[in-house]
Amino acid sequence: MKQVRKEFGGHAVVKSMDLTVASGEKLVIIGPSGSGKTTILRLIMTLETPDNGYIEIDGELLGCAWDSGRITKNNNKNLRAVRSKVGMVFQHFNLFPHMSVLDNIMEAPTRSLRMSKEEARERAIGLLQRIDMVGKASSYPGQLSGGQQQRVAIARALAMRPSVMLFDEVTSALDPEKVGEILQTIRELAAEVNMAMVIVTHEMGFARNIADRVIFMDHGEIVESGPPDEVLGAPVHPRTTAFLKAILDR
Amino acid sequence: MDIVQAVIPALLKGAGITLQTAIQAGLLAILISVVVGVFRDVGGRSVHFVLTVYVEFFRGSSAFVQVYWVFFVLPLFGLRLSAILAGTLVLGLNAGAYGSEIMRGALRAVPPGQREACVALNLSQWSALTRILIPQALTRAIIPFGNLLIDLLKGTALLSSITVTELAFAGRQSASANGSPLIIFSLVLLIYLVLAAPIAWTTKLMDQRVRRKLNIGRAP
Amino acid sequence: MSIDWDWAYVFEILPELLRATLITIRISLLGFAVALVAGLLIAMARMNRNWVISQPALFFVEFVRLTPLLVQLFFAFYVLPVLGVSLPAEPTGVVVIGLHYATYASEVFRSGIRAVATGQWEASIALSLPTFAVWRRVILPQAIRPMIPALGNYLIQMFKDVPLLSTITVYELLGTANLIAGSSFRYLETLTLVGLIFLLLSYPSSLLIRYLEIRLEKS
Repeated sequence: MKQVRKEFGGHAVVKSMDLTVASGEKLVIIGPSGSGKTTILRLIMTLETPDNGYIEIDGELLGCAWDSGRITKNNNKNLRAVRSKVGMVFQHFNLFPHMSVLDNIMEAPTRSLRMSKEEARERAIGLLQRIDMVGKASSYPGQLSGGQQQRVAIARALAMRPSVMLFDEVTSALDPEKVGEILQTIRELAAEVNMAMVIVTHEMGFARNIADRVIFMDHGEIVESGPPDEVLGAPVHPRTTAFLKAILDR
Repeated sequence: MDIVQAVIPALLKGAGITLQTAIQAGLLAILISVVVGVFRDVGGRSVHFVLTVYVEFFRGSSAFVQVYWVFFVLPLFGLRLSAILAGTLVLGLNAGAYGSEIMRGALRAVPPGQREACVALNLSQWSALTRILIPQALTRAIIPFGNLLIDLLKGTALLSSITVTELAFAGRQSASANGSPLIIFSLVLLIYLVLAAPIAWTTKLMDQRVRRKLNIGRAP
Repeated sequence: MSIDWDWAYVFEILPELLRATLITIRISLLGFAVALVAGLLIAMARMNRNWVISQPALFFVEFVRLTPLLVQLFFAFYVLPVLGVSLPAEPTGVVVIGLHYATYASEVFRSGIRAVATGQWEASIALSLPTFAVWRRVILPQAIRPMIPALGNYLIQMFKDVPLLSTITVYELLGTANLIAGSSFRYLETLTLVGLIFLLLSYPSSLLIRYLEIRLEKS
């Protein structure tokens, strides 16, 4: 993404952000609340439109197009084609409560990728096996624990085989004892799938363990960026130091 | 009891017409509710304007006046409908206006995270509406739609004033022919109760079952 | 009969229709007063712990809500004289429409009271206030404000139901209009005016209530 800027009510939440994620890279974004980390994910997912700048995925512009050297806003033609390369897991799961677990996972492949029901079911069951939830295939989301729901949400996003997955504070709404199982699921995924991941989290141990690169954001800007050992282990910027100290003191 | 035996056939015949009218107008009302409820927010500005005029017009002027207007004024424009057809249309359009507001409110009550999930899963707007948002809105609107259908059933009594020989009409006719209004109108009220109560029970049961299945708690 | 709109005729009948509109408004307000008082009594009866009191109240509410207002009007109008109660048409209509809407109002009262009651009851018992004082000085003042939009909507709905009284010989707006149109055969202007008068009165009122609702939600 290049020079991306997003304002809410005249307040710049993301200021002229340049960011590149390599294919298969695991990028962790940390920072205090209100620093703009979630907004970055929402911009990539097209849940927000940038006020300035543009986002490219695999060399294709997202939601806009080049027109004689200039960016045109709101070109929705290619939006859905490009967006299918991105998947997102939300803080509050956002499963469809009126559909069974299996239907939740099959919905997007059948509707959006126009996959046959049999193929989608096969793929969904494979994913359920991976998250160890085949037994709950016909349950409704309301009957599951938060941790189980979030695992289903991850499977649902994976069913679209995106080239980049976004994780937005996926453990924040969970009971403390369920956090581990979700992080473990993501860690296993990271190890076996060559898929880029952009992860916003407050779990520093997890960040250090999974990240190829860590970004510290504050006030809509990247303050510090580098390998996890540098940013988390030996931060250079005083704001990073202060943030990490505050997190550890909690 | 002779009087009961004497009037029951006429009342039941009227009840049949009441039920038929209520079912036809109910189907029309539900169709209108969903379509207008969705398109008032999703359609463009001119669609929104036209639908808003429709909804506010039917909600704002009295249903009984609408029934009279259609019966007495439409023929002046050369549009001759039978009393029962005109009445069914008016009741359906009237209930549809109220129902579309139920639908609109229920759609707005679907949490924003559901729309975001639809975007994240790259569903088309059509799929998002028909597969995710409308079904979820409907699960929250069972009781209000049940009440709407009960109001519609009760509303069919208005058609007695435009010569539709439904239950209220039959009751009034029997009372003037046979006397004993106490017995006859008690019977009429009882028949309405027997027709309306199942709607209340069924929708309550459906609501409970859906809430238990989706685990979304009790109705507020 | 003609489909030409006759303005002269409109201005000729307008004063009479407006006079009839005042009658409709009068019936609405009187009926609403009945609905408020009876509704509060029904609500209190339904919340009574003794089922001998609460069950009949529940039955009354369900019965009234599941049967048509029009037939309830017929019942009162034709049956009461047989039982030796002779009441003119308009008061009969006011009482029936008032009781009909009392059942709806009672639900508003009940949920509104329940919303404040639980914690406040305990506090009031702790202060050993007498029951009546708790109701009058603690519960109702807090409960009433949030009820205003719902009650207002029922007032508007009731206003639009007043034409039903024309079937029991009350010459409110629609009854008067039918009388006029019956002799002039000009249904187009007469009934259209009636519809417009209802629209002009009820639409702004419902906007006012929506505004009140929004204001209440903010505070």
